[in-house]
This record gives sequence, structure tokens and C-alpha cells, in this order.
Amino acid sequence: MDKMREGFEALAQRVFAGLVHGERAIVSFSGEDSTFVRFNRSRIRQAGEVVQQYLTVRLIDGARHASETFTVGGDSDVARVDHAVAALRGRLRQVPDDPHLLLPDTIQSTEDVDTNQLPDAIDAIAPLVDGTRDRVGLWASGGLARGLADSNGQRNWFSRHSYALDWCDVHAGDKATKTSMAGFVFDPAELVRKDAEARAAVAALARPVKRLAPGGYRAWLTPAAIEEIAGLIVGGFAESGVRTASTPWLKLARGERRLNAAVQMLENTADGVAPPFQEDGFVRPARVPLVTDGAWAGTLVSPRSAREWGVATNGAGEAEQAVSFEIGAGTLPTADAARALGDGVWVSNLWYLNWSDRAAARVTGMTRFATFWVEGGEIAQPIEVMRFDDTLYDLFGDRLEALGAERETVLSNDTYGERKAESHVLPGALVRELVFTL
Amino acid sequence: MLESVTRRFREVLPAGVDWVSLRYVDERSELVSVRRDVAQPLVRSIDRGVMITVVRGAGCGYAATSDLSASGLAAAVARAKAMADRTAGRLVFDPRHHAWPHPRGAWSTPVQVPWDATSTAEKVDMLRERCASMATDARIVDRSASLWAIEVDSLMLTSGGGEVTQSSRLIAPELGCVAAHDGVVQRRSLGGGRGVSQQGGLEVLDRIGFHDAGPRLAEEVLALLAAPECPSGKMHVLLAPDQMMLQIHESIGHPLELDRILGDERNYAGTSFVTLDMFGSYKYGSDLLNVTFDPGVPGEFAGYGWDDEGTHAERAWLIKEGLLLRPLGGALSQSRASAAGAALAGVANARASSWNRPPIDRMANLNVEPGHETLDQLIARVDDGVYMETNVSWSIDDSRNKFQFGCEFGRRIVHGRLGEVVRNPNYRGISATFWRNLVGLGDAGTRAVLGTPFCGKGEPNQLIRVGHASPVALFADVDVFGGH
Repeated sequence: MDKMREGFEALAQRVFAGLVHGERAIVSFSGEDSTFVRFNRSRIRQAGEVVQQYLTVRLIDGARHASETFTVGGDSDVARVDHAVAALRGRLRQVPDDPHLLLPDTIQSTEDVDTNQLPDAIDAIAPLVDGTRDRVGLWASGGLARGLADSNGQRNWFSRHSYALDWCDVHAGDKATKTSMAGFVFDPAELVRKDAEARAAVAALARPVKRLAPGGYRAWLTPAAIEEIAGLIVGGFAESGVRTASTPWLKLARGERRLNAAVQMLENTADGVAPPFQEDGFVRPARVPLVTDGAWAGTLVSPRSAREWGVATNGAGEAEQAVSFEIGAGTLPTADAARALGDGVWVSNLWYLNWSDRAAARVTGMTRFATFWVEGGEIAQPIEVMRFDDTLYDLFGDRLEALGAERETVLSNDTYGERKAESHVLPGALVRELVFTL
Repeated sequence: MLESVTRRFREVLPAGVDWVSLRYVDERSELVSVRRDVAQPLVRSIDRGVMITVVRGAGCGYAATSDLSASGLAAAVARAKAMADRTAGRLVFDPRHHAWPHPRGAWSTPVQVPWDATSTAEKVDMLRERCASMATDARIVDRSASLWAIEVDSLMLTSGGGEVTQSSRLIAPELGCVAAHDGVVQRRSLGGGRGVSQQGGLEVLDRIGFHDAGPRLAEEVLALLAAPECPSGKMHVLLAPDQMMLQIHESIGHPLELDRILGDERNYAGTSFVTLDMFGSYKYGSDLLNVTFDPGVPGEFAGYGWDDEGTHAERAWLIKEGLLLRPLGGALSQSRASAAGAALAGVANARASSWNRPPIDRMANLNVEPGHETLDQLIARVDDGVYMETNVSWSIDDSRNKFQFGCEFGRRIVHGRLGEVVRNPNYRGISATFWRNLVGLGDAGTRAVLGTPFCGKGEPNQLIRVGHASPVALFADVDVFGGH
């Protein structure tokens, strides 16, 4: 990552050296040196390494601006930078003033680096690709970096060396247990332990499958299941979403609905793994409350939204999506969850959630992997996958009996385009009724 | 650039390996957008890199890099070769049992009006007009119009002299509005998100009716605000092509991907209710159902000449008169299936989203072939049903069976006549039975060629472009419901 940083700084200086007539430039960087090992049937399916470096040059002249993103890391970077600046200058003559442009007017430089403690990928996952049982999954690891340089002098650099190992241990068909490990230091003994736990859990999947009739059931949603819901709602706290009525939380934002008083949601940058700065150079505050005691507490406001709607930015990114999202802990110890559930459904994982009525915060989705029927507080049988369709206002509202006392930290394993530096911290949830429709 | 990459590849070809490929991708894109009459920041991207794949004995590894210098390529070759050695004997398939190709050829998108035929300023002005055309009522609280132009030039080279060059030119337009009043919020768009994406130049906009759609979308979104909820019950649904797109995608495309059937996706995108022994004998749908993999439909979003494993792409029937014939499986998946005892013909569909991801089986242009009835004839057949347009929500289980879809816009059909607008039309079903309830299919006059840039799959994850052409289609006995 040091070499990437040096290259980034040199290219940023090249951009700044060429500025004229009071122009301003913001140069940002996204890069990684990653290893991916994909496996199926406990053998390697595809294995490789990816080194990618992207530079974004944004040229600003008054209220006009435009950006260009291009790959770097080779022997023609300087020429590409020069070409980009010239092209942007030409493009600025064609774009109108942007009334919603907002840039930092103070300098807030940051630096956040770690040391690489990662193991060799093939060695690390050796216990999972031994050809026994049927394990399917992905190891993704390596360094990733984000940088920003402003011609006003601001510098921000963030780099992390992390791994994410995500796999399922398959019994048969769609019946499997899912395990995830992620972090910055890999413990081979923990992998062996989790693999043994998965093998024990798979045994329960061999029991006869129970087919549930559509209807309402008591349910315990594990933190992994809540993670799927979190993935759907993290974009719902956008200021622009409230202003244009597109957020699913519109009734909550307008005070027309409340969630259960036990529900706390926040964007916790201070304790998360995301870079502390966003694309324009604003530094995120430590915490932004989103839902407090069940009531709407605030939005994520990008600089553009701040200008458009006349409010203060709180350093949100352009997408105004929570990247260090947390739901507060509750009072129900996980060890007591099955007993508290009594007769109902232990939902280990959810899948393919989508809005069935966005304005009502109604979500549909599927159960997945090791989801069980629980009877008298004991795991009884796996169930056939079921579709649910229910509103979050009720699931996190009147029908919420308790949130879990222990929370799990889920590091993002999203690798669309690049590995992500995002995290969620989530409890489980006991609900009085989850409505299954099919 | 292609010449220098070719020359450098030949210089760094390693000795002592069985097969090496270089896949170079140069993708340039530009996004011009207007929202609520304000031009949004202009964004341009140039994404260039290579992926080297090495097969050596019983091992296979890849290495991708954005460093296109001679030393960058050499380093990538070394890393790929080292990974091949690390994986030798540990792979889920034996690469020695596959015929690694050395293809040769060239392909390109026909373009009538190049993207740069108009200036950026002209495009901004045009999009402002389209955006403004939807500003017909204060209840319309959000309006957007944008064009995303993509140019992809790719080169595949192999150690045995293979060389394939391809050029794609694509446009992904977006046009839509949101209306809100008295607690009701509705959206109306052209094709749903970027569902009207096509290959070509600016002539695509005329083909899809981009310039005239704004006032209609505004009128319809206001109608939705005042409309009753879609009724609930078992009834006929008549699906427009911009909902058929998702129905085909989720409940035919993904279940037929051969790598999914072989189990690769079970940790992420899921498995399939389709098994290897079904091909040639399983009745997937009614006799009306004919589905093709077709890389040659003019303008369809995911057309190409060769896939990313180097197989030449040709049209093929996947389902004929309801009978399941072949999977969406590239050459390597076919070899794997053959090794598992199922010798299946597939299609050239192994693709990667870009240079930084390895190819996997992806649906490309996947189409339902037209039938013989007009829209009016299909409507006249329905005693109790809903006509649905434009997907807005999609969800399906990990075996690709239990699905639920929502659309932006619906109209009741009662006693053979199109009736009132209804909002939040949704339906759910099971793939295995749904397609057998296909009871009517529109003719070529009802067909639309659609596509989207946003199909997600794979570990590591990959977003890829797909195309879906379909006529209007009528299904019986479907569980329909509205919002709450």
C-alpha cells in the first residue's frame, strides 16, 4: 500500500502543478491488492490475484466541475493524468454552473494505516478445501486503500489489510449452514473451531424437513438474518430520500410512525472500519443518530443535499448510505433465545429481500440455509424455505419482543467492482409474528 | 494500446505451461444526468486492465492488473503461474480434461449515430427538456433523465496464437418521476431503472421512444396516485415486456446457468431447481414457451461475437415448445458437466464483468420468442385479471423457485376489456408451475428488446449486462395482490 500511496501523491502533485486561473482540484484514489480463492465441494474452483488502482481527478472552476476516473499503476500514468486534466478543462466549458456544489472550506487531513498481518490465502483455507464434505465459499483478502488530495492542501489516506471468509457447509440441496469470519488478524484455530461447529450444525439439517403453512409465526432472527434487512435499509436514511419521498422510512421521518422504543440505529464511524472521509473531502463525524428510542433522529446529508435543501452536511457520501451502520443491543441473551422463542422459527439467514410496498416499509424475502422449526425451545427440524412479506414498522415495532443482548460485527463481503471497507454491528431479534406467504 | 499489449504479451509468455490467455478490457463510460432540472456532475471513466490466466498441469490461476507496462504484465504472468502451481491437484475440476481454445476473429456493434455526434452541452440541454416534460404537477416531487454511454474494446490473446478483438457501443438511458400526495408515493419510469438499455449509438433513443415518453410517465404517475390498490386473488396476469424481462431473468435465466447447477453459487447467488438430468426431458413450461440464447439480435444489450473463454457465440434454443433442451453453460462448465457424467451442449456465455474478475456462466441475450396473438386478442381472452407494466421489485428463493414481483403500473382487465388503473400490482408464484400456466403469447408486434446493466452474481461479485427480448405474455391462475 505504501507504493500505491507514493504513486497517488505524485500524480496528485502533477495535477496541482498544472492548475491555472484559480482552478481547484480534488484527486482521489481507490486501490487494492487482493487474493480471491473460490471453492466448491471442498475443492478450489477459481483462485487469483487482482491489483487495481483507480484515480479520480475532479476539476473545479467556480461553480463548474467535472471528474474523470481512470486506472493507473503503469508507465503511462503521467500522460494519462495530463490528458485527463486537459479533457476536463474542455468539458468544463460545456457544463453549466452547479447550484448544488459544496466543497470543504477548511482543511481536515487524516491518516489511518495498519500493518499487514494476513496469512497466505491458500494456506489459510486449507482445512476447507481438503476434499471432504461439501463446502462452498470465498476467501477474499489483501490490502485496500482510499486516498484524497485537495489542491487546498488537505490530504487523507486510509489503508487496511483485511480478510473475509464466507462459506456454507452443505447437507443436501438448499440445506446448509453458513459461517463467516472476517477481520484483520486471522486465527487458524478459530477456523478449525468454526468448521467443527458447522459440521455439528449440519447434522440437524439431516432431520425430516417441516413444511409450514402460510401464516404468522413467532420467529428469532439471528444477526446474520438482520444483516440482510440492514442491507436493505442502510440507504433509507438519505436526506434526499426524505425530500423526494423515496425513502421507505417516510412515515417514520414525518413522525407518523414510530418503531419500538428499544430500537436504536446509528451511523457509527468512530467504531467502524470505513474511511473517515468522503468523496469531497468532508470528514465524517464520530456518530450520527438515525433512530433513537424508536423515533426518527436524523438523516445522512451529503454536501450536494446540503446545498440543495439548505441544511448542514454531516459528511455523508454522495449515496447518503450508512457504511458503519449499527442497531443497538437489547436485553435477550442469545443463549436464551430458543427458550424465549418457544414454538416458532429460528431464522438463521434471510435472502433476496426487496420492497413489496416501499411506502409502507413492507419487505418480501426468503428464509435460507439453516432455518429451523423450534419446539418447546429446542431446535426440532429444518423447514422448507419460506417467503415472508411483512412491514418493518411492525417487525421493529409492536411485534418486536426483544433484541439480542450480544451483537455481531459483520464486515462487508461485497466485492462488486472492489472490496469494501464497511461494517454493520447487529443484534438478533425476537418477533411475536413474522408473516410467511408462500 | 492493443498493439503494445499484444507485443508485451508475446514477450512475457512463460515457458513450461499448457495454456495462457490474456484478456484486455478497455471500458470508457460517460454519465450525463439531470435531476429536478439541475444538471448533475458530469462523470467520465476509463477502466483498462488485463487478466492473465495460466493453466499448468492440474492447476489453474489468474492474475489481473491495471499496470499495463511490460513489467506489470510480467508480474501478472508470474503471479498467475504461481497460483496455478498452488492449485495443482486441488481444483474441483481437472484442467487437463478441457480443450483450451485459441480463437480468432473480430466483432463490433453497428452504430448509426456515434455518442460524440452531439456535444455534452447539447446532451445536457436535451435531458433538461426531457426532465422538464415531466414537471406537469406539483405532486411530482422528483424527476430524472440520464444517459450512460459505454464503449468497450477488448482483446483476447492465447499462447497458441488465438486473437479476438471486440468492440461494443452501448447506451443505458433512464427517465422517471416520483409523485407523492396524502401519504401515497408512486413511481413511473421508462422500462424500470435502466431497463431500456441497448447496443448502438444515440439512435437507441429514437428506437426506445425516449424523447416522447416524459409526458406519458407524468400522466401515469398521477393516475397511480388516485388509483385503487391492485385487487387480491387468483386471476390472469398479462405481463408487458418490461416485466417479462425480470420474470425471464429470475425464473429462466438464473436457474439454467450451468455453473449454478454444478453448485458454484450455493454460498451466494444460490442453486437451482434444475438438475443435470432434466435436459432433454423436463417440461419447463407450456407449449407456447420458446426461449433462445441469441447474441445476434440487432441492438440487444448483451450481444457479442465471442465469450470470455474464447467460444464463438451462436444462437441456440434453450427451451422449445416448453421442453428444456440445454443449459446456459460455457465450454468449461460443459467439460465439468461431462466429467460428472452429463454430456450437455451449452452456449458461449462465460463472461466476466471486466478485466478484474474471472469469467463465469452468465446469461446474455435471453429471449422469449413471440407467439401469434395481438395485445387486443390477449386482453379479450381475460375475464378477470390485471395487466402489469414495468418491474419495480423482484425476489426469488435460492433455488429459483418461489418468486415475488412488483410492478409500477397496472390496469384491471374485466370481461375482456382493459379497465381502471390500479397501483402496487404484485404477484407471487413458483417457477416450476408458473411457466406451465403460460396460456397466451403476443406476436412480434408486441415484442420489445430490453436490457439492463445490473445482473449480479459470482464470488467475488460481478455485475454484468444482460438483454431480454419478449412479447406480452398471458398467465393463468396467478396469486395477485396489491399494497397496504
